[in-house]
Amino acid sequence: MAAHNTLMCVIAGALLLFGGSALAGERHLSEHGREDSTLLQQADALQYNHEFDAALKLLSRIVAQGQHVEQARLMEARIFLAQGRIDAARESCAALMGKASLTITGTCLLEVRGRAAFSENDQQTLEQTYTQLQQLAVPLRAERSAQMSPAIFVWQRQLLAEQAFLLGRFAESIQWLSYASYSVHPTVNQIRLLDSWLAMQQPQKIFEVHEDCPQVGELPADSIIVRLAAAELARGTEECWQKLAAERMEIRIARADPLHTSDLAFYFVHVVPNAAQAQQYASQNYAVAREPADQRLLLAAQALPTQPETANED
Amino acid sequence: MKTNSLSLVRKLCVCSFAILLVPLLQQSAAAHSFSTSFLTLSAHEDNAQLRWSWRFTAHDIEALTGSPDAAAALPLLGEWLRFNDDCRPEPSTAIDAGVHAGEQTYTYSGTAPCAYSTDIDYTVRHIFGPLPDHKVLQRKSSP
Repeated sequence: MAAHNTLMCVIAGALLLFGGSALAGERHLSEHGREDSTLLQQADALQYNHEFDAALKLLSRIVAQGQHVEQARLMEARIFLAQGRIDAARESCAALMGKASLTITGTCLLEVRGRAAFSENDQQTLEQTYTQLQQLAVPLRAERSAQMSPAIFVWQRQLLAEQAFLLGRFAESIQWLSYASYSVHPTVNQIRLLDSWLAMQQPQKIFEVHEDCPQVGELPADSIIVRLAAAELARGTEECWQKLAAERMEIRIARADPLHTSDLAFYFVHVVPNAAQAQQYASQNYAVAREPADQRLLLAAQALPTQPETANED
Repeated sequence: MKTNSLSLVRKLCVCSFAILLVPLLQQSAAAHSFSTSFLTLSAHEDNAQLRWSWRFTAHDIEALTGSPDAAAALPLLGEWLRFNDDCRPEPSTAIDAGVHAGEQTYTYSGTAPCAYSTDIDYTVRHIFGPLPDHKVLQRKSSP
């Protein structure tokens, strides 16, 4: 761990000193990315469906072939983090040194360091990592520099929002995502914003960016629907989203998918609390997805009071 | 949602590097969508036949037929569904439009010239290509 910390300091320092060359590296990567990326897209599709081992196998092939190594390593690190394999993710990031820009390598390593700190409940290291990531994410303004790749800007803001959230700094988490309006953000960021507003007990903010009731045929993802139901419950008014969430979850239970059960776990933790169901789906989810959000969901499910068993009546 | 976020996200991710990097972060499992249809089977008064109904979401029908017209699926149902290998469903031209779990749905129904039993064998074909994670949830009624 100490060696890792040293490495991080070296990289963070180098990033501050050689910011110009890092940006040059980003431009090079941008040109490189125009080449055929079919294999990477296949790997991305596999990881999207939680077929992590198949995706990792494909990524090893890409790395061995020597093309798109930077992107393959980043995706590899991303998958290892989703699996909770922190050391393997760190190795994937470290393998970028000398191949990708210092900005990319440093961001990758700081993400891993933040995840490691969270999983070890090491608040101090998480605080340090958050600070280093802010230093790295130049400029520190909400607006994007004309020189910086939009993808890297978005990535760094996403990580800053995650680390702020994990530190319980929900307002800061929201602030990091303020470079774009809610509707422009991808689902993963929308969920971060919704969870921040829920944590700050500001459900009314959620209904400033979503309709009070769902529009037929224009539904957001189930992961958003269950959060809207939780917000509605917290606000204590209409029941549109709660009713919809119940119908969506009924289908999801009937489908009995072994993957993507975090929505069900969230529903049974925050909308219709049920310890047995929440623990079942949160555990099922945590077996395949070990992001901080999955860990928090499992802990919340385990913290729910268990319902007493109904006594048999004669 | 008040605006179409997908098109805006696409606009945001215009550079080729973004295509490679950003999906790793954006296409998380959180955004996964699920495609489900509901098949109900029951006995016909005439024991030599069975009754069936099959409910799809409107957008799944559009993905499968390339048309927003619910009737576009009628000639295809016999290809998508078979009972006992060679027993083709015969759809009625009446299609029920409704709403289920917040989505516009179309329910097709009809008969098939084979006897119903609770353990009747059926196969679904041709729809898993356009809808890779599609699941057909089945309900069998008692005869």
